[in-house]
Amino acid sequence: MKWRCGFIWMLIFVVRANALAEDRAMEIIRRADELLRGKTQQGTYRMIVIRPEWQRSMRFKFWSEGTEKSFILILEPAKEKGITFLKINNEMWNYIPRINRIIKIPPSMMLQSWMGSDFTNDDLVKESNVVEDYEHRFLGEEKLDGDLAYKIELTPKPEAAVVWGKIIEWIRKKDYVPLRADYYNERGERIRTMLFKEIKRMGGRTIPTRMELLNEKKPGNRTVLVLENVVFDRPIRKSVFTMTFLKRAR
Amino acid sequence: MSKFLKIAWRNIWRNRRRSLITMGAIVFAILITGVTRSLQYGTYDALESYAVRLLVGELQLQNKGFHEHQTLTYSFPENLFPWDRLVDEYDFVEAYAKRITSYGLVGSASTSAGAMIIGIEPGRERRVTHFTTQLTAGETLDDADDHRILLGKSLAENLNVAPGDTVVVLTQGYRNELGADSYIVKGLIRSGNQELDRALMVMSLRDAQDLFSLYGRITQVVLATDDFRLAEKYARRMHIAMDGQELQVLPWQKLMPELLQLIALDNISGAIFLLFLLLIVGFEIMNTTLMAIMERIKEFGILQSLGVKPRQVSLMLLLETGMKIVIAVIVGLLLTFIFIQLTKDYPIPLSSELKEAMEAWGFFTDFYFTDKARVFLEPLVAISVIAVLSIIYPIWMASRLRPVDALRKGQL
Amino acid sequence: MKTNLKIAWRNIWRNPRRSWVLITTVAVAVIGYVGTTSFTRGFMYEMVNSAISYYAGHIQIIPKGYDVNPNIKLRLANPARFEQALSRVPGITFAPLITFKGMASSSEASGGVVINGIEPQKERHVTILSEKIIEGTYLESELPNAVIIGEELAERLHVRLGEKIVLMANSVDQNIASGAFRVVGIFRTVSTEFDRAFVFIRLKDAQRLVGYGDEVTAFSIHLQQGYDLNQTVHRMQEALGDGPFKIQTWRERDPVLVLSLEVYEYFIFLFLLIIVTAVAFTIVNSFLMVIYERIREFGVMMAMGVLPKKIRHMLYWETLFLTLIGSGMGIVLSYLIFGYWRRHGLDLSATSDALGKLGISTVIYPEILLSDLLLGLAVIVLLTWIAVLYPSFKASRFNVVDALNFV
Repeated sequence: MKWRCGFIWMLIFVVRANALAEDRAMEIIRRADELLRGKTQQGTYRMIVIRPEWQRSMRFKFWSEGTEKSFILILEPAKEKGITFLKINNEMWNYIPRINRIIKIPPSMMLQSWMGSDFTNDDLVKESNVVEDYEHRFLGEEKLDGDLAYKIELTPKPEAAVVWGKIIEWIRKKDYVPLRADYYNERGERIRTMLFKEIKRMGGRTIPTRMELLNEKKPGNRTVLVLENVVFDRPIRKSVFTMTFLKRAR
Repeated sequence: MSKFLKIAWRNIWRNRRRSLITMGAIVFAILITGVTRSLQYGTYDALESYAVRLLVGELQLQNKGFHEHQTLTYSFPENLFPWDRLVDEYDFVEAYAKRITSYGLVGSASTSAGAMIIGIEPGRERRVTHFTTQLTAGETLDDADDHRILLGKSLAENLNVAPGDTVVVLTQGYRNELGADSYIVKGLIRSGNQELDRALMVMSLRDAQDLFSLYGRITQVVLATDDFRLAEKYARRMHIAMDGQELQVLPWQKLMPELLQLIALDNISGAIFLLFLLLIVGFEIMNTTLMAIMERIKEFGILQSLGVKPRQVSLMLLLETGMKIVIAVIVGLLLTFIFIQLTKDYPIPLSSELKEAMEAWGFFTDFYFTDKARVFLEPLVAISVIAVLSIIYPIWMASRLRPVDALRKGQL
Repeated sequence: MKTNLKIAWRNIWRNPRRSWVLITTVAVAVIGYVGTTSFTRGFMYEMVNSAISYYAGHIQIIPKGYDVNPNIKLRLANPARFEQALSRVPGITFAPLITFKGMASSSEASGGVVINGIEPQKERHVTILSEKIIEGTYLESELPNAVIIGEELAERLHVRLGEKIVLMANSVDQNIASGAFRVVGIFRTVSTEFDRAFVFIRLKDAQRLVGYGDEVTAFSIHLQQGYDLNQTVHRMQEALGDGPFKIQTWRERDPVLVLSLEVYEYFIFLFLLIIVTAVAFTIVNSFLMVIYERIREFGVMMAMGVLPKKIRHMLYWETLFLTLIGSGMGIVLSYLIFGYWRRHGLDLSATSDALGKLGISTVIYPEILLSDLLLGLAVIVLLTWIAVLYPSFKASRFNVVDALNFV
């Protein structure tokens, strides 16, 4: 009897430990996500699209509030200046000055490239997913670029509308700064890799200021995002996340 | 020998009616298979050349990789080669036109749809393809047009626009730039190809280069030649290279393999028809020949009892029927030729209802009899073979004839 | 009359070889005619069949206005009412359908598709999709969020059986709806276009995805062989009464197919004219020959006092007998030859790609229609009668001496 009790105890202990590990993994992901995002964010990015034959650079201004709302204004190059994007929940609108029209991005365009980069429109819309749509598993700790990092596996929940088979993410142990994320298909082939680089203080936080997205199926295809300046948690006017602002933003 | 020839010749005209009937069978067989083939090849040819010269053209010059990927990465400088020299250098090249083909989203006030966007040189394009001239409304593009477009009829219907209306276009450019612009609809195209009519959007090459940020570059050069059927041969003879960059020369057979398969299908149903036709006329030739000889058994009996050897009777019969076949084949071919010469300039009549319905969908309606060599050659071979086969048996029978039996029974 | 018949019958067998030549001529003409028409019917049947057997059936019930503007907001409410009414109509099987445009994507690629929600058990009785699964199973497994896709789409998206794709579409409230679906089956039809663009999920999953309750977009209806299209539409109208829906046949749904059939039929008509001309010439020619060979025989008969009229009648009867025997033989042989292909089909798979592009199956089943047969027989009997009309008239007009000297 005693022996049996011991067994049940052990079982409970293991289950508890797993649950704890899971909770902990999710908590790490949540903190890393929060670190990059803030309650609100206002910043300027440079984006460089790299192809084997050419590369192209552009700049845009970015506003976001939580995971629900974001707004983008293209600043450079001249030909694309003034183009704006508004995202509210999982819907997205686009304004193009040259044709003076607001376009709602239809489902058929959600998976197309955003502004010619390796990001899709869908990547912008579905930022929140890393916490809600995945099961998180703690794989251990690993040294990456000289820093000790948590290694966490994210597996999409069965009903989640996610194309990935799994994501492996490395997050720096000391300050929850994400270092790297590998995206796999269900066969276990790596499809793309996200690298977080040039970690420094900006906008009052220690954050990566250079992100590189590598297309593993098309070697040489890469998109680099460089954060030029950023302010976190400063309230943003309500009027920013509106249709009117799509047309007015300069 | 010449004596036999003379006898055979005389025999033919001795029973003129019988000879005319047997020869008539052959003449008719040649004529009707010839007309059938002329009709079949005429319609295939018309459909093929129409389909080839609708949009794709006979030959295309492309950068390697464009055919597979259809992206602007595989464009090339528009002055890579002095194109005017093509027409001088290759005697079979009759015209050329530069082109850009890509994809985008086109929107009207109410809705939007995906489109295949083609940038053309309007004047030159009309000399290599004819999709820009098949309009249901408005006018076609001119070389001077700026920000004017043609739309496929179904695409225009889906977008709910008509000539004079404005549409906007969103695309991704050569280096993934966002391309966006607005254009005025000038005309609507009805090509007869449903998929095309649902997707086609045509603008000037300049506008396309602007929209796709493809300055000084194009994706294809389309060529017209003197004979679309020889495109594969021509493609092998061409070599377009300049400054270390070589262009692929693709014949329409490679660009639209499904058309080749369609032709194969047409040939199958055509062949099934021909088979049944040959069955009927071939059998008739055999029957009349057989009968014509059988009715004369008594005559052969008399000849043999007069001392003519069976071998000689057979020889005489062979010469006689041989001459008949030759005469009939010549007459048959002549009649076929005359028939086709008389009809080939007039399109095959379609009922006016059908024609209207076909035109409403942009279907091709002008079918002609063709006078190409195969139309005469195929019946000539097929019918001659049948005719020769059909005389072997009766002549063999005649050679084995015993005079007594032949005289008594008058039949075999 | 009776003696005429008897004489004619005896005449036929007096010179059996000659008669057999005529009989076989007629028989071959019948075979050629039946072959041409039956293959034509087979081709046309396949064109229609391929167009409707994979999708949507012969008849569809759609919301009013859906044919003009296929919008996800348009739907049929209370489908149970339709099912009840339809089950009273004889000669049909039916299945509910939800259909809308959307996007299918994998981790590597994406493409526009038509997403269809079906009830697999009912769909089996309406379309033949369930027979075209080349890998995995039909939608009957209990796995949640299952999808079957075409071979072509599987290749484009780089997905295999058991892997996941994400389907995305506009929901009924104009939001973007998406869901992950697991590929449980891969199908291959004759149309690569269909295999690239059509995906099938369960009706319930489709309803949840776009935000429907129990509503559906349409009912697909398969008409059993032997039931008339228009009559059935009429019966359905009576059973369903009035409402915000429309009954649409494949002929309305696909006017281009109808037109293609008409064009095809017209050219078939031209070729049939050629075949009939050939048949006519063959028969006239053969009978002419035979009658001319017998002029001397008629002379003998006239010399013996037989009236010319009688000779004419005798010839008519002879011809009729020969034609009937020949036609009978032709029909029996046709049924033997084409009947075999009718059951087993004639495989034209050497050019299957081409046939697939046309939406035609690679196996053709020649179809012998009674109406075609009767028309052909009528034409042949008429032709032979015309064929003997002139020579028999002429034969009976010869005077005895000329006839006896006729060579």
